[in-house]
This record gives sequence, structure tokens and C-alpha cells, in this order.
Amino acid sequence: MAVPTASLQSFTKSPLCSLLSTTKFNSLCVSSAVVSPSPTFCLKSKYNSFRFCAAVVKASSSPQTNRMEPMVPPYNVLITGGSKGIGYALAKEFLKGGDNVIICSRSDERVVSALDRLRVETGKQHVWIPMQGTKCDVREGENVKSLVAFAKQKLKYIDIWINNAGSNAYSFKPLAEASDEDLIQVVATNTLGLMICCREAINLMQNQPRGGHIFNIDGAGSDGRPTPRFAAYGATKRSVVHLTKSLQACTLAELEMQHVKNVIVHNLSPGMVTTDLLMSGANTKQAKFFINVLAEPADVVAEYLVPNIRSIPTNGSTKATYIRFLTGLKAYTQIFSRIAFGARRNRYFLED
Amino acid sequence: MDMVAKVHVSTLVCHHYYNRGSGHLSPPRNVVRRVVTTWDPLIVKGRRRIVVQPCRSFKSEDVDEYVKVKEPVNKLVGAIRSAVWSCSKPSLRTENKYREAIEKLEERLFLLALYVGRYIITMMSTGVVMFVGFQLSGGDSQMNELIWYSWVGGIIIGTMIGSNLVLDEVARAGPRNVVITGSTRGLGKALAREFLLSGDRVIVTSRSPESVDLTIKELEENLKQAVNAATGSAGKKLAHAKVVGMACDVSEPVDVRKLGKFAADELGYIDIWVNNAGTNKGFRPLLQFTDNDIQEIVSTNLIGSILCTKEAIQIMKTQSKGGHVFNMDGAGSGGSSTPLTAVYGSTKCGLRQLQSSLLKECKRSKVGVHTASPGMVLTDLLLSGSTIQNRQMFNIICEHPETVARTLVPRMRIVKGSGRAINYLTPPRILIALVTAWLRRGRWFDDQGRALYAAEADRLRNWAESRTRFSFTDAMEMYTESTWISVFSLSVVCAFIILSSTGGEKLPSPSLPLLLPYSSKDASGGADSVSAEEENFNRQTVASTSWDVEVKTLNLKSYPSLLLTI
Repeated sequence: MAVPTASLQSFTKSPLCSLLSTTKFNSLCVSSAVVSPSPTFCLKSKYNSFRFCAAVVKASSSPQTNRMEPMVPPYNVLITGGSKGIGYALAKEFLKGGDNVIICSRSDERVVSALDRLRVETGKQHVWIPMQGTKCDVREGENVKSLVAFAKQKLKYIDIWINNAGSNAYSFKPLAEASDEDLIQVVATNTLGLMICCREAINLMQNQPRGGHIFNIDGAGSDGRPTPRFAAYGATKRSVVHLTKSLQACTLAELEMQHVKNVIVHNLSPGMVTTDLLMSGANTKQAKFFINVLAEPADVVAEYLVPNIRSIPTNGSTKATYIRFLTGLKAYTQIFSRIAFGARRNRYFLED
Repeated sequence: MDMVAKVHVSTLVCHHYYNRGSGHLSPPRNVVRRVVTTWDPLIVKGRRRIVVQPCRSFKSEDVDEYVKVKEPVNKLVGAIRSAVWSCSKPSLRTENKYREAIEKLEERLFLLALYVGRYIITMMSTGVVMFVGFQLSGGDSQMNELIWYSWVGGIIIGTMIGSNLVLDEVARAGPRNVVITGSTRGLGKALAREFLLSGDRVIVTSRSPESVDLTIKELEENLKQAVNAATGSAGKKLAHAKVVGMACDVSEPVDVRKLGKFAADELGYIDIWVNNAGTNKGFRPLLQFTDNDIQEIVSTNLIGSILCTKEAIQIMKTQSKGGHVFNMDGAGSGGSSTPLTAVYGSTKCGLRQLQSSLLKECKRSKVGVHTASPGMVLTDLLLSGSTIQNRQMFNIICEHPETVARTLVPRMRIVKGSGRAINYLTPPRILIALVTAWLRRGRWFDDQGRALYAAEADRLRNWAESRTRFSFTDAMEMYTESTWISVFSLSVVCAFIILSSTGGEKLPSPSLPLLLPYSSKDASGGADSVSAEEENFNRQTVASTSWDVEVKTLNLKSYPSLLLTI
């Protein structure tokens, strides 16, 4: 009996066990280890008991996993900054798929007109905006909290939260010439706003039986490549991708550490979309070339993205994904066909 | 220049002497007889100074260092001390004057010994390369001739590169005007102090005016002590040093503009702007950060850096000499995930991307944008909310802000061009940290995670005394790259000779003189008269240029012979 006790001691002294050291777990380990008759068995049972401990910890810390419900359509979708551009196109596409959608925006009148257009264009009524007269600025924690409260009251739960609100201040200039207000606006909307939204979304979703999926929209610069003339925007988008990574997309991620299993954070890459954000920068030859070759209208992008987004909860997937519209292969093919056959020349802008 | 030229004349002689078959290497007596006869024990000591370093850096570097190094020195110098004592004038025999004279003498001797020691090491490395060359050539007179020619060529090229670097250094000397944001504590303060003690004019900033005032007072006190302690050229260097400051919240555009104006008024122009201000707010999951926390982190780290960079670039664009902006890296800069500091990590990651964009934007201007990476520094930012396990890890890889600043600042001062990354945790440092991990247990924290290191004031006192010495890791960095070059060139020479002899075919003769010059060049450096850090830097630059050349030569010349043997 000498050997097992020794190994038992070493086990109870190990940092892993001290991590989970409550009297209850220790007693569990002790009971299962002492019973084991031989050293080899002891090792094995040690392992088992540890796993058992870990399972107990997880189960007790997140009781909602026990009564997890499958996610079934129609989904409840919340899109920040959904009054124009990609957000609007995504909302339209989700509505066509029969989902319930909440959109919000900084500007009250823009979001109201977007709501009207959505209802007319899709012929469906299940789209909402937060209470009229209350703007929703993602940079303000209070605004986001009231948005969550509204969503809860209206739809009970949110399955898909898309952090789409982003800004470039619609100006393309070297950093040294950009105005301070623009820079602050860009960083605050893209980074601060997104972080607050992420936090609120996780808070909301981890208490939902169905769990939830969060999608962060990336942009130019998110792969770390330089983005001259919109340096601040690129930096914020890079930080968005990094935030997703820290939260989910790796083995030692934050949500895993906290045993939040029912909330998954994804990245969503729409590529180049012919929205105001991009088109306002089309004043150099190079920019015009690339916009003509690579950019697509928001509707086309949304038609591709939305089925992909919807397939994630449909398949019950719990893995973080990175959905890309403009993959590298696609981009290179388009550039090649442009150079070889002159395809897509002068598509949006007159070149030369 | 004078110095350099003299050294290289004697190099030649030294090697003739060596080649005549003496087993060990010592400077020839007929040339530097005086040095040999008078300072012979000191040469040994000078070399030991470099060899002895390992023990120092493995222990708590700053605390015992002074005593440890002093001891052997005292023994060695004791003899000379008594010799001087016996032959000195009676007027000097009062205790104080005697001590002063001895101290001055010691200082000179140290300096000389440093040069001699460095010189011997460089000579030895060329000697080894040449010796192997001779061995391999197997007494072939044509080969021997080639080796001699290439060696002479190497000396000449090395001298030219070295003197060029020295001249460059002299031209670029002089005080820099430096702005450091967030510099009232932690690394920022250490950087400010180090710049100040290098003779620069420094502007410290922080959000609170009180801490700015306190910091200015403290740094002025440090400067005063340094000026009092300094003698000769060191004192002259510090003559222009000054420190001023103002309160500035980097996330407020108005404040940043004020800071730019203040710096321009106070200093005239700005050479270096360091965006050091950054905050972390503890190690917690994102869900537990409040709105204000997130806002503060994002606005300090990202908005603050962007606004300050913008202001700095705007100012520097109008300056005739341009300027350099440094952004500080942090955890997450490389793109690896940072759980529990998700917000901090993602801002730092964004900054790295910003750097690459700025690099493109500033391509044609005189403004350089760089990053500086301090590695892991024992400051509040890191220590707040760290667990015992964390602290055990800190033991291995962390350093005090002063240590880091001492390495970063000389490099920041002489940075050139744009897009440089100045890192503290370089591969050799990481390697040494990992290799000596078992020695480093309990370096800063004990098993319970209690801090073992001295408070800042005590640290500074000890540290001021060891300031002028260079640490082992510095020395290692200085020699690793040149050693690698030596090893590489050595292997190239060996391969060349082996291939040419086994192939049975003589290769065109110009290839060897092209190969060997660079092997002996790094050793003959020529930068003997610059200080340790500068030397370190020069060597790196030299090494990187010569590497390219060598690789090219290798590719061009060794292909035919390779094919032949196959």
C-alpha cells in the first residue's frame, strides 16, 4: 500500500489538483486512488479520478450545458449598424430566409428608413429596431445594454449576433493628415464598440439554453498586411481578429478557460464590398483597379454569407470558423482574368 | 581614426609573429613593448572581465555585481598600487590625494585593458581562421599566398568599414531631444532616466501633473548624482542633459497637440518620440471588464498611440533632420492570442498593423517609424493580478525596467532609416534564459510569489555603480553574430579547400580573396575605439552586410566545384 500513497501524495501536491482544490474534489481523488491495488492501476485511476474531478467542476460551473437546447430556425439575429451597406444586405438576406432580425444604428432616422425599406423589399414584418427615439451607439455601454434588454423583451433570445458596425470616417488620407475626430471615431467604433458588444453578447448568450454565435466582421488589414491611407482602420480590424482569437479561436482561449461552451465567436470576412466605406477611397489608379477587379455589391456578398452563417447553427457546430467571401484563390483568379482577358474592366469606375 | 590606423599596423606585425610558430598569442614585444612589460597582468584581467561575466548575469545581476567584480580587480591592482605608492612623490602621500590618483589610474587601466582584451579576442579569432586555412592548404605555397592576400584584404576592408562606422558615430553624436509618453513609472521612467543619463533632453508626460512633477524632481536628482560622479568626457556629455515635463492625456487630441507644441517650444526640435503609454487593467476575462476599463485601455493604447504618432509625424515632417517615432510592442503584438488580457492584446496587435501601414505612408519622408519591444518587464502592468504560477515563469524571463532600458536606449538613440524593430528579448537572450532556467528559479519571486527584489531606489543605487560595465548578455550579443560569421566563413574556407583538393581541379583564384576578407574583417573590426554598446551595434551592422556578400560569393563560386565533386 506504500506506493499508492506516495503517488497519491504527489498527485495531491501537483499544481493541477491545487487548481481545483476544494475539499470535495480532494476527497474524491483520495477515495478512488486508495482503492487501487497496484501501482499501475493507481496511475490509471489517478488519471481517471482527475478527469472525473474536472468533469465535476465543469458540470457545476455551467449548469446550463445540461439542458442545452438545439438551435432550430427561424433564428433570432441581431445586426449592429444594419441601416446600410453590408449590415443592411445581411438583414435582408436573413429576412428572406425567414429569420427574425433586429437592426440598430447610430442615427435614428436612418434606421427607421432602413426598417421601412426592409419591410417593403422582403414583404416580411419580423424585423425590429430598438425603441424609436433611442439611438444605439455601440461605443456607449449603456446603449448596448438597452439594446440587449430590448432584444430579450422582444425575442427572448438571440441566436446570431453580428458585430457589423464599423467606420472609416469615410476618408482616405495618410495618418498625419487625418483629423483627430476621425481617428477617434474609427477606433472607438471598430474596436471599443465591438469589444463592448462582444462582452454583452457573451453575457446574454451564456445564460441562454440555446447558446449563441457571435460574428465579428473583419476588414482590410485584418491579416496584418499594411493599409496605407487608412492606417487607423486597418489597425482596428487587425485588433478585431486578434480579439476573436483570444476569445475563442485557439486551444487556450478565454471562453474555454471559463467553461463557456455554448457561445462561439466567429470571424466573418465579406471581402471588398461596394459600400460607401470602400467607394469613398477610390481616388487613386491603384484603388480603382482593385475595386473594379475584386469588389462586389453588398447583396451578392450577403447572398453568399448568410447561408453559410445559417448553416453553422443548423449543423450544431461548436467550432469557431472564419467565413470568407473573397478567398485568396478567388482574388487571384479574378486578378489573373483581368490581366489576361481584361474582364471586369471599368466595372464601377472608369480607369485611366 | 588615428587609433584605428595604429591598431591595424600592429595587427600585421602580430600575425607575422604568430605565424612564426609561437603556440599562444601575445602581442609582439618589439612593437608594444611598453604595454606588455607594464600592463601584463592587466591583459589577463581585461580578458577575465569578459570571461567572468557569466556568473554575474546568472545571479541577481544588479545587487552583488559590484562587490563580486571588484574583488579580483583589487587583488590584481594591489600590486601596482603598492608599486605606485613606493615610487610616488612624497607630496602625494596624503590619504585623499593618494586615493584619487589611484582611482584615476585604475580607471585608465580598465579602459586600456578593455581595449587590449577585445583586441586579443579579435586577433585570436583571425588567427584561428588563418591557422585552419594553413592547415588545410597543406603547405601549398599558392594557397598560402592566397590566404595572406585575402587576410590583408580583409584587414583593409574591415578598417574601412570600421572607420566609416566610427566617423558616422561621431557625426551623429550629441544630445537627442526625446519625448516619452507615460513616463512617470515603470518602463517609461526607466527609459527617460536612461536617455537623460546618455546626455539627452527628455520630456516626461503622464496623465497626472503631480506624478510628472515628482518624476522630474527624481530624474533631476539622478542627473545631479551622475554629473557629480562623472569625470572628463562623461561630464561633458551630460552638460546638455535636462528633463522637463507636462501632464498629458494621450487619448485627448487637445492634450497631444499641446504636448507637441510644448516639446517644440522647449527643445526646438524632436529627434525621438516614444509612445510608451499603455495600460492593462489587470488579468481578467473580458466579461469582467467594465465599460470604463475597456474604454480606458482602448483609448490609451490604441487611440493614444495613433494620435501621438500622428502629432509626432506632423512635427517631424517639418524638421530638416526628420525624426523617429517608436511604438511599444506588448503581449499579442505577434498575433498570438492573449487570453485574460484580450483587450490589451488586441490593441497591441492592432498597433503592429498600424506600424506596417505607417511604414508605407512614411516611405519617402525623413520620418522613421519603428517598434521597440521590451519583452517582459517587472512593472505594475505585468504584476497586477498575476498568479503564483505566472510569477514562477516571470523568474525565468522577466527583467527590471532599468536593465531593459539600458539595452534599448543606446539602440534607439542611433536608429537609422525606418521600420526597425528594437527588441530586448532577442533569440540569444531567450536561449540563455531557457538554458539557465534552473539557475533563475527564485530570482525575483519565491515559491509563494513574494517579491525578492529590491525597491526601485535601492536598485538604482546599485545599478548606478555597475552602469558603466556591460553585462554578459550584451557581450554575448556582441560576439555571437561575429562568431557565427567566423564559423560560417571558416566552414566555407574548409569546404573550398577540401572541394578544390578532392576535385583535383583548381578553382579560379579570385574566389578565395573574396571569401576570406570577410572572415577576418569581423575580427579586425576597426571599431576598437568606440564604447561597448556602439561596438555591439556596429558589429551587427557589419555582420549583416558581410553575410550577404558571403552568401553571394558562395553561391557563385562553389557551385562548379560542388558539381565537380558529385
